[in-house]
Parts: sequence; structure tokens; C-alpha cells
Amino acid sequence: MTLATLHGRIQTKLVSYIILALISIPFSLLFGGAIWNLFAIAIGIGLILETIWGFVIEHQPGWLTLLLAALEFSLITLGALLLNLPMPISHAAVYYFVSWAIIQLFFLYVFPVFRLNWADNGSEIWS
Amino acid sequence: MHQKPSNTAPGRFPIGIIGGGFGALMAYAVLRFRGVSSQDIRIFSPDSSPEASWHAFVKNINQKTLRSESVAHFFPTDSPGLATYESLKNWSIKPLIYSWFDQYHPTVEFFVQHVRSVARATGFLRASTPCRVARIEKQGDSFHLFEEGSKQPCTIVRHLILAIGHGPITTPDPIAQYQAQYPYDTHVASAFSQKNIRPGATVIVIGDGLTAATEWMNILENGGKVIAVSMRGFTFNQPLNTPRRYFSTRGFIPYRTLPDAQRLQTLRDATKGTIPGYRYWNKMFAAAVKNETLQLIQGSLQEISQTEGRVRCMVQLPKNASLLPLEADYLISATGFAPVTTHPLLSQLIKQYNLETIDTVLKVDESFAISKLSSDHSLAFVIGPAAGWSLPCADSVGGMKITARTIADRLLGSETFQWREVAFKGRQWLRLMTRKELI
Repeated sequence: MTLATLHGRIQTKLVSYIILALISIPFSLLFGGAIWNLFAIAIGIGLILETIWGFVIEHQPGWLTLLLAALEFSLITLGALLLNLPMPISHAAVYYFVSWAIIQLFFLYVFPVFRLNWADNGSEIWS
Repeated sequence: MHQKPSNTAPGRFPIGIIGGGFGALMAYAVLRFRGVSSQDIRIFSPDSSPEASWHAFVKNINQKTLRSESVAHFFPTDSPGLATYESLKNWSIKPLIYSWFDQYHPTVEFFVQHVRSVARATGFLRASTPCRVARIEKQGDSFHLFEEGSKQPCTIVRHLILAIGHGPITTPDPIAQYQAQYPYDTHVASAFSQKNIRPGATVIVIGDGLTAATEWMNILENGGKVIAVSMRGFTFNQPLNTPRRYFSTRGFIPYRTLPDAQRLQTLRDATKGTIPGYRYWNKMFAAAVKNETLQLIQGSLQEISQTEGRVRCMVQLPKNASLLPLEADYLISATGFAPVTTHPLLSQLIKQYNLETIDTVLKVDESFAISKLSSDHSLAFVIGPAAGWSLPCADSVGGMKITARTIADRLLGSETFQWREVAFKGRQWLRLMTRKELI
């Protein structure tokens, strides 16, 4: 059960960007430097969305996480199109969903081992 | 890491846990995971295993699955959930998919296996002393624990965790009077006792929670008819035993800021009996109401008598002076447990040390410590239903986990991301997953 606070959502998202930065390194070698532009768009849109979700979503079950990811990807793609990013949508989709899956697995299975009360604290890391 | 409470003399223990059920296992598992040695914790309980009394209860009501979800387990970490564990065990993705929709509920048997496996991996039974603590005395920076009738303490502990579970099973007065009058009559029984209900029988079920609804199901599946009676009425479709928001700071921090009277009312509302919205149950209950094999009555039981081998009840309806007579083959009382403050050990402590209570609720601080029994070097905590003042969901596996982690933080200090601690936890987790005993 995920019952994150607004602070928890933003803090967790910020930590997820460290992982995303690491994942972006091999992707930039594979798909080119435009990955870093996409990374920057993802940070902006991700933080805005988490702020909104912090106010409107109390409980986030697994199915909703999937739906929110699809929405986030759509908005990032829109941002990339508006900024004329030189990258095919297929590359952006592979980058986004592979990163998303790794980050999800990290927060579902790895992070809670090292911070036992992370979920109890509304996903807040520095509390 | 390895921040242990300081060593004490032989026969004395840094941490003592009174009670041997779920609360005790959770507190013990979290402390062991955080690096406290099994030699530094002693559990005092007459129970032979942590699930024994709970398992006997659920067997008697024929409960097959738990109301709780994937994350309600006894691993000290949230990861992996029981759905992941079951998926890997049975090589099936079904539990995970159910879990994504909050529809995963472990079976009683799977849960019992899990409890036993955590007890083994943490050395819980080895740390247990078969003993019923009847009296506690605070002396300086330690607690002296006494067995029934003994003037010498059986042990001395520095920190105390009270994991005493619920108060006794409640029996409404008319039922208690009836049972005193007809002690061998089997037509009136508690849900938690063994019962022999004839198929097709009409049964009055008093109560409005999961236990009552499980009994409705048993009776309906046996071709019987249910007359359900509750003083407060019935609340359907609540997934967990308390509203979900209380399982995180998002819900329990605002709760803790409420003025006492409002907080007490919120606690009462949050912990009232409710019925989960299992799809199969909803379908069955809707059909039963339609064909009049399930009758829901809001009212309070006033009187029970025998009439030609059957049970006759008088029920007081709300806002109605008249009494409603009901007749059935059996009556089952499923009204839950008395407040934990009626537990003999806790009620004695309350009187002895003038502990702060509000109505029937013990006041504990935000780290689940009893202030009047705690000092800088010796702390007394509660886990389980007794912790409700600080956490409305304390009487649930998820709530006990929050309580246990908070207690561990208070005793051992907050968790850090120092590499030694991270490496230690990683090792502990691997041992837990490979069913090796924790360090």
C-alpha cells in the first residue's frame, strides 16, 4: 500500500533521478546525447506531476502507478516533440519504460530493506 | 549498526517482551533485523508459538483468507510482500496481479507457514521463556517481572515491550446470563469457540465485523438463514480493518494532532467493526438479502430465553420503544474483544502506577512508550491493540510493523545510510530470504 505524503513523493522522485542518471549513461551511448535532454524534460515534468499527485492521490495501488507512468510518458513525449528533440519516439519509449521498471523494482524490493520505515513515513526519506 | 542496549548481569536482559503472539514476533523480528542479538531479548509467554491462539480463533470461525494485503507480513522489511513471495513460491503471476488491484489476501495456511518461517529465522522460540508474567514492578532503571504468586522476580529487564494482545472476548450481558443459566446448552456460543451448527439452521449472529460476516458466510453456504444483529449497524466494503490512510504518516500524523475527545472519537470510528468488500461475499450477501436468507437488523440484544429447543431473543430497535422478538435455532456472539485496558496485567499497571487513560484507552506517546513507566535509560512500550492511542491501525499486522519500527528507532537510534549499516541490513535480508537465522 502506498500512502505517500507530498514531501515523500518529491523526495522519492529526487532519489529516483539519481538512478535515472545512472541508467541514462548506457542509453546515451546507445541512442546519443539527446537522452540527456529527455532526462531534463523528465525531471521537470516528473516533479510537477508528483506535486499534483501529492495533493490529489491518497492511496496509490499498483494499477494506478502503471496508469500514472503512461501519463507521465505521454507528457514527456509531448515535451520532447515541442522542443524538437532529435530522437524517435521508439527510443524515448524504450528509455522511459526500461528506466521506469528499474526504478520501480528498486523502490519495491531494494530500498525498503535499507529504510525500514520509508513507507510508514509516507515515502519520506529525510524525515 | 549493532547498536545494542547495554549488557546486563546474568538473569537480567536488556529487553523483555511480555506476550508471545503477533505483536511480540513483530517487535522481536525488527529488533533482531536491526542487529540486537537474540541473547539480549527475552520473550515471556505461556504460548507455544506466535500464531497458536490466533490460529485457533480463525479455525473456529472457519476463516480461509486474511483481510490484510500483501505487505502485512512479519518480515521486518516491507520487501518482499506476501504476493511476491507466493508468486515466486508457486511460480504464478496471479498473486502479483491481484496485489496491484489490492485484491490479494493470503490464505490462512500460507500466512501460518510464513509466521512460522519468520519465527524460525529470527530464533523467536529460542528466546522465549514459557512463563505467565502476572505482575510488573518498576524499580530504578529496570522492570522486575513476577510470575503468579511469586515474591521473587523471575527476571529483570531494562526495557519492556508489552505485547499482550487484546482484552478478553466480550460477551453481551444477556448472553452471559443465558450461559450462566444453561451452562451445557450448545445453542448459544461465542464465534471463537467450537460450534456444531446444523445445516439449514436459522442462526442469529450478534456483531458487525469480519468475524460476524465470516459466520454469515458459513451459515449461508450451509443452506441456513442468518439474522444479523448489530447495535451500530453495518458498514460494508471497507477493505482493511481500519481506514487505509492510518497506515502511513499521511493519516496518523493529523490524527495525533486532534484534541483528546475528538481523537478518541476518531479512534472509535476507525476501529469499529466493518465488513470487507470481497467480490464473492458481496455477491452472496446481496443474493441472500434478496431471497430473505440474510436479515440485517440494527438493534441491541436485551434478553435471551429458550423456547422448545430454540433460542428466543428480544432486540431493542433504535429510536423505537418496542422490542423486536426473534427466534432461531442458534445464536452466535461475534462482538469481538474487550478493551485492552481490561487485560489483567495492564489494568493492574494502570492502577499501580496511575497510568493515564482516556475512557478505556491507554495514553501512549508517539513512540508508543508509556511515559509514567519510562525514564531516559529504561523504557516501557506497548505494541498491538494497546498502542491505539498513537496509531489507530495498531491492532493489525501493518500497524504492529509501524509500531515495532518506531520502538526500534527509539531504542537503537534512527536508521542511517552509512555503508556499514546498509551492508549489515543487506546481509540480514539475504539471510532472511535464504531462511538462515539472522545474525
